[in-house]
Amino acid sequence: MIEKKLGDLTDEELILEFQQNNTVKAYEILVQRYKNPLINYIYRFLGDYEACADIVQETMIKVYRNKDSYKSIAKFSTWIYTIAGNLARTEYQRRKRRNIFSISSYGDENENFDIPDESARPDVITDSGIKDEIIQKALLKVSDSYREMVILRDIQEMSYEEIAEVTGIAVGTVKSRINRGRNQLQKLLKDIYKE
Amino acid sequence: MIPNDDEVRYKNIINLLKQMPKVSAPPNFESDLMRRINIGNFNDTYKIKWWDRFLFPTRIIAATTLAISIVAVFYVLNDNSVDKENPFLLKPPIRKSVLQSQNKQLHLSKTPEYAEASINGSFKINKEGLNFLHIRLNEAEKAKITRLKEQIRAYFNENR
Repeated sequence: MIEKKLGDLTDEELILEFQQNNTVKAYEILVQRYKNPLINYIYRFLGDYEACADIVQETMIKVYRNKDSYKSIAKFSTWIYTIAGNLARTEYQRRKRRNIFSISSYGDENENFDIPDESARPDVITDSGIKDEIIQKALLKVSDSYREMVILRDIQEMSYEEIAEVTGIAVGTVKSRINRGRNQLQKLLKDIYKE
Repeated sequence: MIPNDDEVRYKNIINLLKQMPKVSAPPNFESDLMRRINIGNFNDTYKIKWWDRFLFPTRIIAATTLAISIVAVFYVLNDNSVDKENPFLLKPPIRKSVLQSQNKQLHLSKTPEYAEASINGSFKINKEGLNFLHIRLNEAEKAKITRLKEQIRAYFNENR
């Protein structure tokens, strides 16, 4: 009965319940609600499933440990996306730095290289899985500041205002970055979307 | 959500992105998370360490630029300092050959006596700054001088 009641609560009510009464069940429901959207967001940004699962776990742990720093004036989704976005950006920078400084990583088994993929030619593309892979690879080639915005807007379907809140950037800048990101993607995927 | 002009322009791209499959969390996600929370395993994997902050490529570039700027400013200011003499007002350095020649002349001037041969057989004598000329006389000149000496002596004897 109580569980059903908690399940009906909004995100903001759940975090408030968790803050005030330390109801772990409320926290678990929030985890259940946000784990997949966050995994999707981080995966599209980093392109590494294992790392993205770790980041989302870390996000959830931060929510658990810092529940009192959430202020009810903000939307819970904005808060949790901000935490996840910050962690993802940190991880992205770390990877980028590692690629710059580590000579030994060159030729690593886990390294992804851009090699001409014959199966990726538009006339060969039949499987939607391959198509998704090509889109994901193209997405990863878009500048990180644009990519994040495009993912939040076109994949996570957030409003411009929400994106501005999550990233801490002005709405006008968000819009221009989204368009620049889309423009880069359009150039990268021109052979695919013509189909 | 009403599409704006940009969304109409990039309609194909937006559709491609929207059609991408949704990625889900691994099946053991929640159990792993709760286990980590229960055992207090908060290892802050994604917390940026201070040396990581310093090693960000952008910060390294900024730090290098700053260091180069400081060195450049130091040199510019140092060049303009009052301690350093204006090179245009300095006397030109004396070449080694000139210096050696000067030293030689100085050495000669300190010599108490020196004799320098002349073309007509006479000598210049320097006796501590006083210049004499030593002349070699021929026999006729010697006789003439002897005669003059005798005449002077006779003149003195007569007038005594």
